[in-house]
Amino acid sequence: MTAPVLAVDDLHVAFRTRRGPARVVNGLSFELHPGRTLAVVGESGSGKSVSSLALLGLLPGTAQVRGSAVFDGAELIGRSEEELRRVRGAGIGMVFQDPMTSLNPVLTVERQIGEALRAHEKVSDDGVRSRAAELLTEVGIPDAAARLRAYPHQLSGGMRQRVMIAIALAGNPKVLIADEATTALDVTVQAQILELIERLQDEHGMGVVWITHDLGVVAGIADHVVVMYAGRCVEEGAVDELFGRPAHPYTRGLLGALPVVDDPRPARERAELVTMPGLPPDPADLPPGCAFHPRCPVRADARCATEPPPLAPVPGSAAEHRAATFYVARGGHA
Amino acid sequence: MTRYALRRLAQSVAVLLGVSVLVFAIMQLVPGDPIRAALGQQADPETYQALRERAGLDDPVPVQFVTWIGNALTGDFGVSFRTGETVLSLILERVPATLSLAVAAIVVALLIAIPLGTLSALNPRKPVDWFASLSSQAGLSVPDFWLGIMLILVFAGTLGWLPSAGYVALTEDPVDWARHLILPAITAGVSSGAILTRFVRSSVLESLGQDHVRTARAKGMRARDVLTWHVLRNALVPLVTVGGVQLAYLLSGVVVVEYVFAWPGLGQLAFQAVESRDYPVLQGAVLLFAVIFLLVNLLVDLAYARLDPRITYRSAR
Repeated sequence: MTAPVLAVDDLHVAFRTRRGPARVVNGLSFELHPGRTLAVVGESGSGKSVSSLALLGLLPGTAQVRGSAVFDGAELIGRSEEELRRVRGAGIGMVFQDPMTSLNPVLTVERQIGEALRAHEKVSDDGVRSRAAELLTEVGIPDAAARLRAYPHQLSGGMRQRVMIAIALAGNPKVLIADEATTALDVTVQAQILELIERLQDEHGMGVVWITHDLGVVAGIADHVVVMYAGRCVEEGAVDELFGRPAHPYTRGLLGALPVVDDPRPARERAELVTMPGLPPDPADLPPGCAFHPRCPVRADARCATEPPPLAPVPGSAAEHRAATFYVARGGHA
Repeated sequence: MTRYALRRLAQSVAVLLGVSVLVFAIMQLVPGDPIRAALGQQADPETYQALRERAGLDDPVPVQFVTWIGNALTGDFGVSFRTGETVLSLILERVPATLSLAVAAIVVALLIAIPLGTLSALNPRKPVDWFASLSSQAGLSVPDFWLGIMLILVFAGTLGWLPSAGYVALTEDPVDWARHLILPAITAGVSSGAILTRFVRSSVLESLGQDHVRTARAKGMRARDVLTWHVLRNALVPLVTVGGVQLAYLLSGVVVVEYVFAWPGLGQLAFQAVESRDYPVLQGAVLLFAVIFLLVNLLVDLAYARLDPRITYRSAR
């Protein structure tokens, strides 16, 4: 296998709060290879977005980041603001959730794409205009020249997200981080955006980190999946492995909460959707042991409440399928 | 944009009509006989009666109003009871002084508010922030007249750098105009600056937390460009509103400051008119203040629409 373009190792992020440190990311590790898609899945507040912002130094000053993130052979954590600035956009592009608020309402599309172009090289006004029009065409916006003069509110939601993607592509990044990039969109538009990113990934050979809570999206596009809970990876593996043989009770809970659309059985014979009781823990007050144990339906081991289970290979699965649960380590499979 | 401007203009005219009714009504309700006040107690009854008739004070009130507003529309606001000059000329005489002071004061206010408010928003709960909020508190609490007197004592008295009072027209001597303007402008600008500092701070803080600022940083833009084009540019939109209100307030005369610096502005004119029950002058001045407020507000709204493209868009639909 090729060397990873992005390798995150034991990433920790804590925020200073009045109630003490809120530990939002607690030892996250993953690798992203060029041209591949990694999905990071978890509930709101599981630390998905914070991890990605931490890589680029985009968190507020109250955040303390530790660990390692090697991008393209160079460490990102602890680098100076100016060094990180050069990576932002040019090395790693980002697409955010809500394209309405993520674009500046008072600046034209041309201006906002132009900023991304000018951030990393000197470009003339004409150069900006023609390059921005090219980018709009590339992300599937018709009549690009006219759209350049538009303001975000004059575009539809899907169109805005295409503009966001054009901005992210402007610096020709090796890695694209899509942070809930389809969450705010209609289902039909979601599908278009997913297709667009897959196409762009093929054309540019980018590695894509897809941050989402939507398992449907993950199944469609990911090669490898990392499931996050309370700021750590609880299970990871190839997408088929993980969906086919989920090992962690949390992953199973997530999959159980997902409706099966093409279930051939009549409605009353289908398995009921399982909801997971409880809420993710407060990052300022994490439970001891496995962070999931208060909500865990299994809790099969005495150590669950006292020591965090290590991320270990799932017996009988491919080597990269790993889960952080004592349950699996004992070989139990439901 | 044109349609929007026309609609706002029509609204302003309607408001102005309402204001003129109110101004007229209040003058009718104020106790005291203006002719008596102008002539003094010893005037003979014939002169008194003649003046009353000339001023139209014996006509029915609605007739007085229609006459007054009709004349006002042609620029005739009547004649001062006290000096016999036309109200229009009295007001126009004072406009340059007031305009100089108001514009200089708002410049002082913005020069204080924008850097201080931005610095404190960028460093929340740091010493700069404390300093800013402390000085803004002080600026609001210090009475104008005291600040004016202190400035005169130090810069005109002890140091002797600047004149202590008076006004010189810009057309007469620009340098002297500026020298006379500095102290009153600072005095009048400090409290507006204090109000605006708090406003800039909260506006910039809000702007800083916007998603599009994060997008701008994620593009790899330099911190300075992000601050200028995404934080300040967007914080400017609400600032224009509050700044406009402050400007209108300064334009309608800062009575105390004008008094302290013997500044022949509109505030002083209105104040003297109240003292001497000079109704025509007072009516004219109040109406002018209303026009100033409406005009500044209109300009603010138009500027707003230019600064935020979403606004014209909404009204055009």
